[in-house]
Amino acid sequence: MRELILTSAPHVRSGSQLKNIMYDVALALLPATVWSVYKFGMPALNVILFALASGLAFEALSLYMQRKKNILSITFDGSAIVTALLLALNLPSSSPAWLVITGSFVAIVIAKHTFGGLGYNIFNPALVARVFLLISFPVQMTKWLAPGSFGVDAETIATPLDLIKTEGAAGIEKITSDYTTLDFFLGNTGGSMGEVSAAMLLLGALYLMVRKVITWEVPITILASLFAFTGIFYLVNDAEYASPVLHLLSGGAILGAFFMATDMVTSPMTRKGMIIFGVSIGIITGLIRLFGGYPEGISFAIIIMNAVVPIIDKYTRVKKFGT
Amino acid sequence: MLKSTFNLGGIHPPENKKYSEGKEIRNISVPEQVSINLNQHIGRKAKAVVEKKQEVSVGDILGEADGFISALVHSPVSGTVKKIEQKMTAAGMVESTLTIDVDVEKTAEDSKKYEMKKEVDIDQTSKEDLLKMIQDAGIVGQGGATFPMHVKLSPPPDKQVDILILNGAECEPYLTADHQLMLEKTDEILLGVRVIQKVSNVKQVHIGIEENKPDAIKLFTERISATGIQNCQVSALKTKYPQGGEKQLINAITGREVPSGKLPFDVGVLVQNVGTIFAVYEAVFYGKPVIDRVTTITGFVKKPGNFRIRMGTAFSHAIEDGAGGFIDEERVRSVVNGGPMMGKSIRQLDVSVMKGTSGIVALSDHEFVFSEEGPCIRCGRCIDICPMGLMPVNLADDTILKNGTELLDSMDCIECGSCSYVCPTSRKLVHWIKIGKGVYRTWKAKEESYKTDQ
Repeated sequence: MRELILTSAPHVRSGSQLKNIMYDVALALLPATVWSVYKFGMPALNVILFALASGLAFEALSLYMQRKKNILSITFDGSAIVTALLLALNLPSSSPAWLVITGSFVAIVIAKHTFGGLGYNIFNPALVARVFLLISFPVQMTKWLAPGSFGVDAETIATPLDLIKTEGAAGIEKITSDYTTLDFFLGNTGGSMGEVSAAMLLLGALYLMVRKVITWEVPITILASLFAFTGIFYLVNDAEYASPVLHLLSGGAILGAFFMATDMVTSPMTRKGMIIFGVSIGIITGLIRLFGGYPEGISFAIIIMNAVVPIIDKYTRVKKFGT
Repeated sequence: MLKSTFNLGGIHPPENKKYSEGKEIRNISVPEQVSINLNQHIGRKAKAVVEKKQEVSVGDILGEADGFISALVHSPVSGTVKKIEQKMTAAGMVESTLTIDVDVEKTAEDSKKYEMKKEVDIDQTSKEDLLKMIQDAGIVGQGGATFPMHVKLSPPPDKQVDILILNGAECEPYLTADHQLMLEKTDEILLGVRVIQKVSNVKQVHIGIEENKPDAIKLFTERISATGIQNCQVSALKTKYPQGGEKQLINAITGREVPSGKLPFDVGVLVQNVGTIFAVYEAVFYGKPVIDRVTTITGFVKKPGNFRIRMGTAFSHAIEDGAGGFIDEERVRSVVNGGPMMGKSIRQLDVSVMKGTSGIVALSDHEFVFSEEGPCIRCGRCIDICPMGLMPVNLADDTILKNGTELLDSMDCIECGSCSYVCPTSRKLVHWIKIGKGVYRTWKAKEESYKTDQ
């Protein structure tokens, strides 16, 4: 008989594993990924493949430099894949390879591993990379191709939020005449690869909810507070301000709310904390969109709130039994 | 019908009770040698009152209670004390252990005295006499906590206990001993309940049974009305782990919350395990001390089932004789004393059955998977499921980073293990918290010794 293994209780464990969670998220992103390739063609596929390859390579390199064991199994634990995929979906389909690789480097090496690797990063790595690229390379990062037009004669268009920001009332009028709400829902507008189709994102989000990877608190409060914030201004002046429905369906609101803000590592741990976190993100996003210098603000909002998570965690301790 | 359960957290591990469920309680043969630990309960360990080479017979006192919070240890067999030594127990501690060479025939002969039922009229017997019988039988909580029963039955005079809860939840996966005992000894358990009713003067008795044991719920409901026992009812509970935890069970049945740092009698409740109550019945009506108990032997064994085992029987003998041995010795990875959620794994099969051994569970390489601790990904699942409303991840970190009074929160942990169970990165949360409790206790003891020095 082999020697018995001595362990501390419990001696059985649920099947819940990091790998399952991460691959569930990757799977949930699949509809939006496929849709982006369908809409933006080969360039989109290239961006995705470059992001995945460089992301995994940087992950392996970082682990090697830290002299970790099991480099292969940690590299493929799913977290690097999710980060790379999210980064790709946050880029315009016209992104050149060097932009994607720079983004991967910032996400994996700077935002993740210099902070201590998985579980210790304060900011969502994919978002740090996106914001870094947006500030450093504004031209490349806002070159949006029109959906369905690719190849040499691809035309560039402005995103709906760009129009609102640059042209104000005229922009809103243009959007409402050019697009129907269904266009927003299906993703027939310009924008980052993964953010255009609300339908595909919601499909993935539903899967994550069913699999209990994410809970309703963060995404629903983000969307609700963004809706309420933009709704108030819309009610006051519907010529100057776009409708809250448009705000929800355009830009990265849905992608951010369901896939980025819900990142476990960078969001609060308690339900109460998640609600505070979500409501704040919604309001900050609304503020940036309506009054800030950038057309879209959800990435900034999430990163700002990521920084506040430790304080939220400290003040939203759960109620102890018997107190 | 909406069944009640406790408010906070809880998990649903696979029950795996099917192996031994409904298997009749069988006796395991008396082994040639038994080893009796003198520390089988919470409190001071018993003091040995026998010597090497002394002859003992069934029911003789081997160890005397040392103070009030302690319990007697009786000889389960007749034979000769071979040696008294320090030996590893099934609970993983090194304790004084008596090894007795068994005279099998004499043991069978001597055990007959416990088969004659005495005529006892509970109503005519005084409270003190009943309490004395319980104390003399060396009864301790058989659910696993092993708290001496006479202590539990003697709350401070200013605490009024009005509810007795009979703990038949048996929420640990794999274990079925309490379930089977409830099916086979229903009337006996109800008589034991009457004894406690008299001793503690409780107004209301609740028998808490999880709904995964419908036959036991039905049987108890029937027998309660048939025997006409007063103020006693069955409370069917929604199946959820750790329902059998004292504080959770009280919460599920009465809605009361035992305040942090307090005991059940602070909210007027007394909780007793069904096995313990059955021991009370045997002590009062047969004068029988705790020399055996009902235990489930299950998991990766050939014939899993429920068995009546003499104290001091080696696990190896119990598994061979009762359960027919392991299915495949090479594939056994872990053997647990108790249930797989809270039990202690053992290193060697020569440890012996104790008063708190509610089960012997063998886990194969399929069921037992050892994985290295990963980094916390802050998913918050441990917080969601903690039945005590704690934040296990923070407590585990506190153990590493903090000291002294900052670890006070960990004292609320009931060590149910749900946090470690759900953790996606296999962090041994409850293990760290247990260490934190130890650090806190040491700090507290030191603090108090400084005070007395000054």
